[in-house]
Amino acid sequence: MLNSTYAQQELNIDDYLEADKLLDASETKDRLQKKQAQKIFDDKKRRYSYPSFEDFWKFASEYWLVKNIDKIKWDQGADASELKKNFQILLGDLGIEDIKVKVFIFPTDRHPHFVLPRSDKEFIFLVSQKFIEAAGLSVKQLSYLLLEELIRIQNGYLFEFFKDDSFVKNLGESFYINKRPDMGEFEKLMTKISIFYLEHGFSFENEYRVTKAICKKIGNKTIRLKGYRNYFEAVKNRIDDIHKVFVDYKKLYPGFEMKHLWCR
Amino acid sequence: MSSLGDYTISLEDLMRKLTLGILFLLCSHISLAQGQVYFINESFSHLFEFKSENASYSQTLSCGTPVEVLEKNIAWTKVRFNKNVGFVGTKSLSLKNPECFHEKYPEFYEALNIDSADLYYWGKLGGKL
Repeated sequence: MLNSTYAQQELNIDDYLEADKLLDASETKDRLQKKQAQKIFDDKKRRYSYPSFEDFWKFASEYWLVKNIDKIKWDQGADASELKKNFQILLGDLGIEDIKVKVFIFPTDRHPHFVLPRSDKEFIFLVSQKFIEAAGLSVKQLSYLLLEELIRIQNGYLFEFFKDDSFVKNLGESFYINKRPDMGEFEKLMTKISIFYLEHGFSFENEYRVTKAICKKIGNKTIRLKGYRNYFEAVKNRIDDIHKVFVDYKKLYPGFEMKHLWCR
Repeated sequence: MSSLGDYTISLEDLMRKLTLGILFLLCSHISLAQGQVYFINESFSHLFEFKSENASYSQTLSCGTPVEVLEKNIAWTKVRFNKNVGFVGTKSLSLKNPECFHEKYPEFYEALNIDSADLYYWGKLGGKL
């Protein structure tokens, strides 16, 4: 009798709870607690995570420049504002919008020219004063050189070089379990950036695609086409002078002798 | 001079109105910026004593540092940080607190080998980007 009364009471309480939606409320509270716990865990995991691919390259480009100041001396170069202005005009003419550029002319002969990404819309272009002198290029001709660099980086050749890199594979992952990121791999990657631009360079096929892409972008803009041809012919004609300063130039940027055929 | 019925607008009038309009816009932009809090949006930026990248600097400000804007111009902005007054590149400032690498990835950032010489060049780079 007593038991049945309790059973009756319990049933009644449940009924009341259900009627008052209190059960729903307690379920919601559980869910909220779980959600909060998950958030705390996620925050901790994020705190101990490698940067995302996008965040990493912006940071890595700056870090590389800072760590290579002795070799590049980007802080001591000539004023590049005229080159930047010309390049931006060229980009505008070709309808390449929303690209933020920064241009450095640096005084050393460590690299001829290269580009570092800050995002998919923002790039740091670097050209050696020694290269400009060896190639005898005007500001207008140099704008086409920067355009080629832009297409190379947009085609992803730099990132492709790192696709099997063990540090790059960690990007976006958490190191919460080990509590410490693998900085040895990070430093190796920094060295690999130098290796890419100093030793690896671009393939014949890469260069073919870059040239074709530019010619396609130029389309029927006769003056621009003439300007582009003028640029690569100038480099071709001075390739031996360039070679005296940058011994690997032909290996790093092959195909200058073929560009006139690729861009007909 | 162009005539539109009873309404006659001289070219000089039009130019004067346009100039006044532009001046008003410029002044309002400057006064709006004064006293406002902006944030450093580059990884690092030096607080220069003068409007020059070659000037000496009193501090290196890291991304997300709030500064009080005293005078905002196209290339350089005069700011106050704590008790120090100096100049930072206007492009290194934003009204919105940016998402900074060192705040987003604190443990990774802490593990990096960044010394005072690096900070010096990073601050210089920040002014050039």
